[in-house]
Amino acid sequence: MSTAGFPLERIRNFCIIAHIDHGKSTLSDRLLELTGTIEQRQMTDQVLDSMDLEREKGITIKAKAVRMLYRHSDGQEYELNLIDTPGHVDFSYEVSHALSACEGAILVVDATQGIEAQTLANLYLAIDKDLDIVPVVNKIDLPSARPDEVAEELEKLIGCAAEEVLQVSAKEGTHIESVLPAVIAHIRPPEGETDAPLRALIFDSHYDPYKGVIAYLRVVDGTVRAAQPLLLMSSDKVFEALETGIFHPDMRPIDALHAGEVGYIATGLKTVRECRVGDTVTTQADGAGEPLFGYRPPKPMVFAGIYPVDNDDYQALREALEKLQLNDASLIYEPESSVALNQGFRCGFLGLLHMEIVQERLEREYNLDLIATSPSVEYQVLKRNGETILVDNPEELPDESAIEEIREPWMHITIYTPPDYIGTLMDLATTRRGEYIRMDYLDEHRVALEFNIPLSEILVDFHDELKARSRGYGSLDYTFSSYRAADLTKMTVLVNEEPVDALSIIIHRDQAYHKGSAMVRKMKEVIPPQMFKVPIQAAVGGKVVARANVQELRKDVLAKCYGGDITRKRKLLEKQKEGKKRMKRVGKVEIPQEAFMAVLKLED
Amino acid sequence: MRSSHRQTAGLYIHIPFCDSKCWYCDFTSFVGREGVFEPYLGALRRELLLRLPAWSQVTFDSLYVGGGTPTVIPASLLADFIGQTLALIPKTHDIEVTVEANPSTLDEAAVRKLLDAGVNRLSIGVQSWHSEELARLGRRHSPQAASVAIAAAHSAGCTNISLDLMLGLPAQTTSTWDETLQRSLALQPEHLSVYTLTLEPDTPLAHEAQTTTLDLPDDERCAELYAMARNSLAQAGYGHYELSNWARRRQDESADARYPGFAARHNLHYWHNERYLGLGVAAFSFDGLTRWGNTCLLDEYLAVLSQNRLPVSEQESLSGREALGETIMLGLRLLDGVYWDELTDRYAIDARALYARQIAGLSAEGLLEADALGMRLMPRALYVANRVLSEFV
Repeated sequence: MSTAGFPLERIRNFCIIAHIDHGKSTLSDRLLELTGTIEQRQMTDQVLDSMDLEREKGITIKAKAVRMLYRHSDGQEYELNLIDTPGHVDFSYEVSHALSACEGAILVVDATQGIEAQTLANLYLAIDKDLDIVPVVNKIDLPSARPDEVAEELEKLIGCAAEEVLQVSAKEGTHIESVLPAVIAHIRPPEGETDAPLRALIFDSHYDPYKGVIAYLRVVDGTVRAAQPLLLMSSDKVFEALETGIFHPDMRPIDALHAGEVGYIATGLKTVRECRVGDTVTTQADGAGEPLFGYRPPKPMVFAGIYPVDNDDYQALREALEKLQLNDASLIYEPESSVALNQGFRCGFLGLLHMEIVQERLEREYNLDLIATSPSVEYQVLKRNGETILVDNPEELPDESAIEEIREPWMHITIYTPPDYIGTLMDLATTRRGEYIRMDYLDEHRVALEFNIPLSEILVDFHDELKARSRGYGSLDYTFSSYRAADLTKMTVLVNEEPVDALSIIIHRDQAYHKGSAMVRKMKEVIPPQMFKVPIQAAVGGKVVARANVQELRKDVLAKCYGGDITRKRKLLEKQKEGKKRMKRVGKVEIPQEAFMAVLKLED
Repeated sequence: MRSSHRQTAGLYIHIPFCDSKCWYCDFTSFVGREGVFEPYLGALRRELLLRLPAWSQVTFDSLYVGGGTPTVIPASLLADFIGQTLALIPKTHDIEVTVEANPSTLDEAAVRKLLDAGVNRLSIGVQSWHSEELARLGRRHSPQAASVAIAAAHSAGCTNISLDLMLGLPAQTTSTWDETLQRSLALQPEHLSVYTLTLEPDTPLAHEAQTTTLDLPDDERCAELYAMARNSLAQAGYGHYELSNWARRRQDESADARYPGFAARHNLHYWHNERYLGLGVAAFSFDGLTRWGNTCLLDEYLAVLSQNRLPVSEQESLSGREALGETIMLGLRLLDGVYWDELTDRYAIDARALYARQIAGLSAEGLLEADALGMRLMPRALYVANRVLSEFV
């Protein structure tokens, strides 16, 4: 591959933005095939999503950048850098940096679903970054597709002509050949001076055990090569790149990356913390004076304790978190101890999906058996002595007598829905303490509803409920709004007369009875029958507000095994044992993971 | 050290035929295949001959002919087959030879033929002494038939009879169960097995349970019925030696014998995780290292053996540690439990250290008793043995 650098006018840097499940990854795959970047027979579905978990959950967690070479109808070869972005709202921080590395974006919209919340959220981010937009309607092969209507929606939204909107089926390959010519025609080539001091944006990274942190770069000015002292501008960290290269889609070393190009450098750094997404790379000698952007660390929104089921695994969990953090700069953790669960870690996540992914990766990739406590938001507590502290763990809430005021985070949410579901979604938001702000008709099919709402109210099953009430058509976008005072208190749960600190939650005082009885009912359901009678109580301020008893285990014996089929017998027992994983012994009672998450489903 | 620590082994022969299928049964058995009785016995014989060379170092001390219902095969045919089998295998002088029977398929002449062929133990599926309970299981026999069959076995000279009973049956009450126990004891069987009804998927009874209320006793009630069995059988002098099995002592037996004299020798091989050779459709075998299972398809079994090939359809080999876990899982079903020195001899693994955490936890719960010799279930754990056993697999 050429090392002298492509002429800028024949480079395009672009990403694909879409609402989740609108077919972004499938479209990426088709483009990789079409350009011969990857052979069709090597394709596993959705090549860019390399983590198993991503493929299973059908989401792209880490942005990727692939260089494709494409011979255009003008006879020239173009260098097309496709930067993949995560679609879920939990990862909008990663999205914004991926967008900064591009001049344009393909906006993919499902021909059956139309414009959804993250279509708009990502589109607005892209417009903020001044990207050129290539609108594409996907899934035209589906019987319920209405591509012309969706194209008109797009015309209203971004002012393109409806007839210019490409209509494709990435799954079937229909009209896929029209996409790259549109990218070349409508997205501007990068600008930048190869002779200027180096400025390169780190828009993503991953950790490689041999080469250290691999930083994904968009070179804005100058040239970056290996074996040259480089500087990270926000941390003043100096290092020497071991290698520069591109993704094709696997890593391929090349001599240098020039202004306008996208690729990677192997930094040799040990953690992604030292090499943060959003930072600017320059040369140590004669470097740039100003970074490209002000660095802003990602802000965790959701906090939970993560504990090993087996206390002996504490060190292994620490090491696993360290390794995971090498690849996930938005994961934060610190040691925490719990009377019930012993030693573990308080972790901060971007959202519930992020939390779920981290827990699954820890369990799957590091073979750990874990308990996660119920997730909490971060409260501001103003104490009577004038001090303000942040509390993300109910157990750290000071004694009520010492508290002047507790404030909880509120979000500004926008719900996009067909007009049919306005009533039920209004009801959903207001019963969760949402404050109505306004309603806009985007067109006759689509309404945007805006609310302010406490984060704790939308943390759990709000999105599922929204989907259920709108038959899958509603979608949600949110941003942080402000902290507001509220009448909050801690609810403690006692199992077998002992308070289980990891089950405490912070609730509204006037919901104490309702939540207390829902909590004990749920606990009674999820704690398996025990060898003896186990009372469960919910208490607020030392007063029991609800109680129930766990069932006693009376009989559990396997029947006859015929003809020596011991394997089957063992498998039955193994299955039973499997069911006991993710259970934590607290005192004399085995409490399953579901119990710690019970608080999530109190409304069922 | 992986091979079984004793040189004796059990031989199991599966007869997959029945007059009718009971509504709870999910074992491999076929109805209406009388035409293949003889070819099937021929195939069993070929399978035995194919297997014997590899088992020549072993002495069989038990032969168990199970099913299905072995006694649906005409008695002279079955007796001849058993006699020929015994003639072919290396065996101990006192080999236990058991045949499973349904009450409705047993008469005095038939028993006599079996005894003459070398059978010395009958296992009779009585299940219940209540006609209504039997009818709801799809059993063809009446309580009267069971009495007649057992009397016939006695008068034919059978001196070792085991009865199978079931608890947890639809509409079963403490009083019907007490009657079943008392009527069984009145016949003074040498051995009793008491199994809890399990609803196996895809059986007629399981389907019925989904569509109607079967009036099955709940766990609480089953625990009560099991406790009744323990009391009644202990009072009648039976030794409770395995979760579901009781046996009388022999007159000449020493008081400190590990198991009552009439304990099922064949099943002890399973519970000790010792070697056994299984012949026939769906039969399993274990040679001390590897376990294998035969095809469940009757026609395939016949076809494969007609070409003198082995009908194995599944196989697994266990590591020493897995085998140790299984030996404990099986051994703890015996009330005598497992012994550290025996485990160490067999697997060269210190089981006590390996499972220290599980043992400590279960002991603290009052489910397990561990001492310098070994470990065993505590009485309360007999009701919830799975809780204990699942810790070791």
